[in-house]
Amino acid sequence: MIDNQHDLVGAFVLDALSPDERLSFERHLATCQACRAEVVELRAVTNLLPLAVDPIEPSAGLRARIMAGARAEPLPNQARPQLRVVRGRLARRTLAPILGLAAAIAIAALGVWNFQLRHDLDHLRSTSAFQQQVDAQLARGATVTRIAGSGPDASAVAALVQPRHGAGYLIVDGLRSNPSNRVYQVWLMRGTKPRSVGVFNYGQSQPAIVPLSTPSFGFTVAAVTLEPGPLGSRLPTGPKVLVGRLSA
Amino acid sequence: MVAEPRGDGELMAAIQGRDVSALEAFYDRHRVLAYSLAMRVLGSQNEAEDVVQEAFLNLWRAADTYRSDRSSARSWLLSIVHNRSIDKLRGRRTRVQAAALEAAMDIPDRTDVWREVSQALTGQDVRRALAQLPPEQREAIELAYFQGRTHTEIAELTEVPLGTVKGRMRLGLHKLRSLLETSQTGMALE
Repeated sequence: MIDNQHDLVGAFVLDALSPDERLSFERHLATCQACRAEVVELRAVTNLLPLAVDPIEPSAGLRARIMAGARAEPLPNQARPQLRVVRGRLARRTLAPILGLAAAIAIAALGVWNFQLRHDLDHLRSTSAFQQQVDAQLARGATVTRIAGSGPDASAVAALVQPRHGAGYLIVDGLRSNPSNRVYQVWLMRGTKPRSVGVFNYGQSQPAIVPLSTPSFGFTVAAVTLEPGPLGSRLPTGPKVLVGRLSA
Repeated sequence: MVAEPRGDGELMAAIQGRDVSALEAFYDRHRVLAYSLAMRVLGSQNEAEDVVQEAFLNLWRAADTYRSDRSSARSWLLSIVHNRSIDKLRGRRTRVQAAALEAAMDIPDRTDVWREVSQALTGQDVRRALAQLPPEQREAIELAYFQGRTHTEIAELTEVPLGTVKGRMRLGLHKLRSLLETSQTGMALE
């Protein structure tokens, strides 16, 4: 089996594995020094592939939009903004674990899908930067809605974070690990009509951050079910593990 | 007297200090590469600009988490652009756990020499090296990296066994590394 796993190094660094295969290979990596070294070696090569692309100039307006966005960001040492929690029924105390999760958004939104993410999350959890990131998200007008655990997963906690623009994120913590042949699938519902907006694996005792494929505006319910992997189902078929009502 | 342009490391340090002019300089230097990559993956001007905008703003917000000993600033930016582009293409499945697991691994970085070489490589070097790969290896790499295809999908598309696709990806990347090293130094480094 080890030999077979070793053959997956190329596909792994090219992100060409299914979620199940990826999880399995990661377990192998944890115990195989040779594969870890090869991953580093080959990832350095994939980092250069963008250079092969024919150059195209973006529109002039893009620069202005990015800089305007950067200038609108609050400075880290500014006075902490008043928390603006859109789901007003949630007391600040009950939001605490959710905000803790929401801080991870700051990392997810960063697109920091690289080697140091785990370390950074740990670091942020232990510093005021963590809270500042949370404040920054909320100050930018993001809506944070609690999604409660259901059934055997009643102790799970999740938050749906919807920025003012673009697609949202679901932050999940405390779920049971999904079996290797199943995935968790996120649904947004308008009335009784569900729409699949993402699938994810959950296998570690830390928050998972699930970028959603569409904004949650106009949807009334968010839910997570356990579905056949790796792609999930067209409609919800499995047990509901998280469910929460959204303000339409 | 004209000031020397600031290097990426210096710009990242200034960005960490919330210097917007440093972000402007960093954008001006890497905008074409970032946008071209997003366009190559997504093929849509609007989507590509969204991804690039998101990537630079994310870099601005996350500058404090950047580690120069882990990757160059350019690689960091481009990995954000690539991941976001592929996520858009595939319907945004999460990859957080993968990153977290890799983070937990203490992988010795023995790529200093390679890193120096890679910084000096140009687009022409990389295109030339890709062109020298056996066509089937190049195809497997490009379908995965630029089109977000899984190895199973590539096996179906190209009608070859899955094991062959795995081998083409792995061998192709090793061969590419070797070609790139040679293109810079005239000889293999390892």
